[in-house]
Amino acid sequence: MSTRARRIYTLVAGALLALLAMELVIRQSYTIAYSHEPGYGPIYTPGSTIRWSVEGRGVGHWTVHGLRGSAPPNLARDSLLVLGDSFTEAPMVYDDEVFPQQLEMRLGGRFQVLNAGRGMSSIADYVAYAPRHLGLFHPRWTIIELSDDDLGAGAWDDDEAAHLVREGAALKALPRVESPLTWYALSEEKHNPLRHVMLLRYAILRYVLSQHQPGEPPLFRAGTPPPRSAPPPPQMRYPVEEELQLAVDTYRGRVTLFYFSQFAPREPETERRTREACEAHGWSCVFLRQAFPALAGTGTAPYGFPNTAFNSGHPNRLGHRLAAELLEQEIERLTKRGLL
Amino acid sequence: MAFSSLRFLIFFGCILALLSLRGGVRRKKILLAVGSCFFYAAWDWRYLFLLLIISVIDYGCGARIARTEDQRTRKLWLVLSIVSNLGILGYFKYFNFFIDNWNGFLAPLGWAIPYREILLPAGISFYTFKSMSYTIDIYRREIEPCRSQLDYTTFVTFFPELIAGPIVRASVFLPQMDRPIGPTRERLSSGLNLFLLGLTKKRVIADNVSTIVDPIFAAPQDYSSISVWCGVIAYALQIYCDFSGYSDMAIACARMIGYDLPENFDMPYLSQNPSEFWRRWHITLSSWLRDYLYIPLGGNRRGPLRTYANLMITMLLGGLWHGASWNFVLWGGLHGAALAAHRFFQRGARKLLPSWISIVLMNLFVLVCWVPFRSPTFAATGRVLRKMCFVGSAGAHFYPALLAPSLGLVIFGHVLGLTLANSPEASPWMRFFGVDVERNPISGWHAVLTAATVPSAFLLCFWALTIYFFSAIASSPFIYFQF
Repeated sequence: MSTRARRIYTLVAGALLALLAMELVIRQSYTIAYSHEPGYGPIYTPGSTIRWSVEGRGVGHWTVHGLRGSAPPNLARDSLLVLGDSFTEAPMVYDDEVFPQQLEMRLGGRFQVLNAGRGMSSIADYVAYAPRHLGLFHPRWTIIELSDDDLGAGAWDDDEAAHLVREGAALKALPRVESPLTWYALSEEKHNPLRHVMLLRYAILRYVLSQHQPGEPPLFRAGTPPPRSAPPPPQMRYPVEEELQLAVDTYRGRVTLFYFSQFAPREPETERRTREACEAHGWSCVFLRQAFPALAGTGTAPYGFPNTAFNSGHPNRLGHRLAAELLEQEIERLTKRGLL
Repeated sequence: MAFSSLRFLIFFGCILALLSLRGGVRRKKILLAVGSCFFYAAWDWRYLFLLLIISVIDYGCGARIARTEDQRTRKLWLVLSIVSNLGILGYFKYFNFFIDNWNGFLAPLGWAIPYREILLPAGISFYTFKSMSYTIDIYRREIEPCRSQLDYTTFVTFFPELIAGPIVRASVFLPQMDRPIGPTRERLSSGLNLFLLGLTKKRVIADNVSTIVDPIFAAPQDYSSISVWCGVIAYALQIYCDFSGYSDMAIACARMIGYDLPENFDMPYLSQNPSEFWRRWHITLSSWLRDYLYIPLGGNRRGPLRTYANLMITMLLGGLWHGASWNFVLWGGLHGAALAAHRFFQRGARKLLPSWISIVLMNLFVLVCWVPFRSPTFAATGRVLRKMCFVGSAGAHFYPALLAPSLGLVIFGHVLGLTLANSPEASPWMRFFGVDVERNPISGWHAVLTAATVPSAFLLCFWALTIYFFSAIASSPFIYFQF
């Protein structure tokens, strides 16, 4: 073998071994598998195990219809359906730590609690796909998990995600635009062997996450002086109360709105308006803020993980436990009133 | 353009490709000077003229100093050079600091001076010091002046160390200018290794621990004392890995081009006393301050009291060099006091403590000193220090998972570095992994993965993949860019 050929062989062999080794390393902390449900969009592949260490550390199992769990649900049983975004989907905690699963254990098996959380959802998703959820699962009751981003701008402004529009005097929710070229679709194509390469999927995830990071800050850039800050434009006042009413009506009033409140002393405007609407209409509502007084002085927070930051990002084990406790109390209250 | 950005990698690739073409040394120097100007202009083209003006002034002053034997004339040209450089540095970096302090005292009397919108040109602290070393060394008859403005401009604008050092002196760089430049296989190999090392320190360690540091220093009162200690330790890792990582990448780029730059860090957290710390931390700055400030003030030649005063003056000004803030002056003052105290106790005394205890105590002192360095104000410094003393120790319990692996990685790197440094040449196991040891009179020793064997190609590729997959998703700016 010539020297040049030997050199090329050495480099290629070394690179391939390195890729293989890194694939094995990545699989210890990140595995993911997507499938596409026509009419609904991306869900985790039924029967898949998702390992997630980007934030927190969790191992989760997913079954049919995008539900979290090791085994398919028994749809003949009485079910509570939990809809939500990544706060409910929660791949960053283990199966038995997510609040729907904890709620099921706390209710002593009286109800089957179905975790249908899907990342990047808003109240528009829960309304737009209500026929699918109600038709598939026939729940006795629905719990819709909300946070500040799921109402108002988060439900209106993205034409590619499910979003709300106004038609005349009424609000309407439009489903997601299904595009065949989304990054997850490329990686989950049925006959594509690369869909099993976690290295590739993780690289795609990192790229997607990096697009949401702020650009290099201009701290050290000797450039044009920043313009004197103009007064912020007046905030568009979104019809949060109408959005909530639309969701309650869509689920025929058999719904509990569960709000993941920010762990901060002041109640943000969206949460305040949600609370006031709940009180005015007598809806079943639960706010994580109800659990905050017990956390005062403990040095803990319901959000954040040791590998990210304190009190930021998604709910941690404590946050899920508190959510399950509060929802258990609400379910007991509804049961006593004969609503469940 | 940060070294860890894709834009820089494309730019640098183009520079290397053009330098590898046939051509004389002069043509390549022109290419290098133009490329460096383009690099600097990418930050802000207007301040490129400032850099070129300093280059012209100091080249001219150097030529005038060398041309005359009249001491008074030589001194005048030297003073012109120093005043120009310090004047420019003083205006852009310290004018508003001066205004701030002036107004603090005299505004109540109605003598307030308005602030100006002055932006700090990138790298000004570094290139003014670099350029001053040229005229001072000519005055001291330690070097000959540059033969051409092109050579001098290439030296001043040399982009790998333009923005954040190492502060390369003319006496180190100029003698290399006559040799052929351009990438060779050996230089590319060792340069790539060093670049990967710098990238690992910056992206994998410094950027990841910055997520711990920022919230804790922003609101230390909200965290428990142990969490604050974690934040301070994380900052010590961040600043070391950020700055030494940048220096490694700068030295690597220069090496691949064909120039050798001096080492800037030598495992400073293994220091046993303050003097040793400043022989290992930001070596080019500390040696610059020693040779151009401490020694001209008299050094240690005028008795102990004058020595302590000289140490304090040098370190106070060294602190002020880092930034226009009393926090940096405090940091410098603490180190100056430690140097003076070490010199006082060192006189005639034998070593009192075992080495490992000395290292631990020195690191504790350095940790405490990093607090004013990082905190934006004295009040913030006080809050952090109170927490570190367990005053009001209650708060959020945040025990960052990233701290232990980052600390482990730095310790591993030090152990590996010490092992390799003690090998005069590659041992059998090193040869198996294709590791070579290179010793350079200017930039020190380096271990190099040569990719000559499959194991070493594997290690090199795995290393590069590790940097990509384990680096922080969000990049922080290089800390020393703000100086």
